[in-house]
Amino acid sequence: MLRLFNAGFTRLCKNKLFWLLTLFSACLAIFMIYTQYGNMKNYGDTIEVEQLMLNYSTMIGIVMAIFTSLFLGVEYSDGGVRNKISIGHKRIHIYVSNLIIVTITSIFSYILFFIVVAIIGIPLFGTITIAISKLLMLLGCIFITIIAYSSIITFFAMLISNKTITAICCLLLAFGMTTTALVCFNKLEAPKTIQEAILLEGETKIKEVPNPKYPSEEKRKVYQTLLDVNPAGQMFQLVGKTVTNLNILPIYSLGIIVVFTGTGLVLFKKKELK
Amino acid sequence: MEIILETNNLEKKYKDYKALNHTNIHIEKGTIYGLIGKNGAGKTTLIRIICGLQDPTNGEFSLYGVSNNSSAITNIRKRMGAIIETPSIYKEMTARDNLIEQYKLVGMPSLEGIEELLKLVGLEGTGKKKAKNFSLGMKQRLGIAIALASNPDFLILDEPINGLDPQGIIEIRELILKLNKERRITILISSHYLDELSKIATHYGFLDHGSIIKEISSVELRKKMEHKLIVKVENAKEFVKYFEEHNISYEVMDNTTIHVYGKYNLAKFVNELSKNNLLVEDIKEQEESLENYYINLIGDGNHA
Repeated sequence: MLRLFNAGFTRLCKNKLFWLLTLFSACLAIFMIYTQYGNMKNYGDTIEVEQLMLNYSTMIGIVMAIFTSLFLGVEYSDGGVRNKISIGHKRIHIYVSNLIIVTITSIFSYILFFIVVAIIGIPLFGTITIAISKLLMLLGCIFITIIAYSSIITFFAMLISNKTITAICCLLLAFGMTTTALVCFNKLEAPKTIQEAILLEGETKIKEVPNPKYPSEEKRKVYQTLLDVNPAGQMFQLVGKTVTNLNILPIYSLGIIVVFTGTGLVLFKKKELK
Repeated sequence: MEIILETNNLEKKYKDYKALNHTNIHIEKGTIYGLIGKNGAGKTTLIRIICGLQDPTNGEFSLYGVSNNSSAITNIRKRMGAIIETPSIYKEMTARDNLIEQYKLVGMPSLEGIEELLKLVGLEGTGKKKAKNFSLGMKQRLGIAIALASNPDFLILDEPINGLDPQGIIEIRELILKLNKERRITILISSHYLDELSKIATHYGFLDHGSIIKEISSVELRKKMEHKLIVKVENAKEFVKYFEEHNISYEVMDNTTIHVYGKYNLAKFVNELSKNNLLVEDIKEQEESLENYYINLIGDGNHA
């Protein structure tokens, strides 16, 4: 498998898409710092640098979907997979090496963003306001969620032989996960009561009434579980620091990794290649 | 003679369609084996199975004596190189970068030899030109260079001259002959271009409807395609002694038919035979091309 890594990273270093991803991560960090610095200067906003450091995680799923589907899609369109098999590499090694390469690339992209924010952001906005241990825990959870994202996207990229279909599927999937997470997040954020204006004896009075859109306890549990299982939902909770139980998210992520990688390996081993 | 590849009643079904039907081929070391068959005969399916891209439905094959049912088959594939339909090349990379990638994939200890490979396939001057800008012939030659990166002793080329211009076809042909003669590489080459195959193959396998209907060496085939007389007689055995004594090349097809190879004056030939009390019932001349031979072999195509 070392040969596959060696060749895979060599291809990565010569890949235009990888350098675009690197440039994007650095530019995104600079753009976020620039806009937040403007808000601080013009409106006196207080900017927490650690919040900026975590922000990339909400969009990394979509970035990964684009990168992974195109990078691995080439393996099929240019005949890389069939070449590797015909010269004696095991299918299981091909799948796992591709998963690891795209995961490391995605984590590298995040770390680069993080470092740029740290180097430029800390002198501008001040030091990190939360405990380092808490920040490291959040980062650890983000990295595990990135691996979960990778395992889902790699699953589709390795099982669909057509590069264009892979790219469309992965993008739709990433947007679908983000939209589902936002819907669940909004449902859970709905207030329990709302204020209602009523006319009583000629006077307008404000009364607190139950919010009809507030989900029942059972529905809340369903929305919360959907949010916890969905990598995009995990990212929203981690960025918003609204996680009720930080320990549960890595367990859900590990579940996703095991299910998607396990199923992907079985199906890829049986896949009839052309 | 060492057998490099042998298939034993190989079968491949796609739902109700049988792409391979009890296919048996035998490729000896050092040969150029031409796998001939029309489109859809099962050539690419057979190659995909040998290369591990698909599993056979039934039957088995062995590479260097290792059965496909053995776990060692993956490892033994390191001794072969292949181009299946289109060459496996990263189009955004240069020829050299593609070879570096392949060297790393096959675990070559150093990058030495890349320049030599590029020279061998005539791509030494391509510099920074990306493979996507190569002509079809250049892509095929790069594909062959990639397949040669691991110094294989068995090379599989699936339709390597498809879509090439005449110059490209000549270049690939010369390269294949060079690899076989200078590097002693055994080559399996599939094609439906009979003329081209006849210029390089040392052995042939005729594939039709998923079955090998004939395996023959080029020497035997040439003999069969020679100018010949088809002689109908009452009892073929009576003629054998005469042919042996007079050094006449012949083949007894059945008890009443003999093929006599070479050019003869028909009247003189019959006269000589009758002088020796050998009576000919019927005699006719025939000259066969590979194309005719192939057409006669597959008949009306109802071999399923």
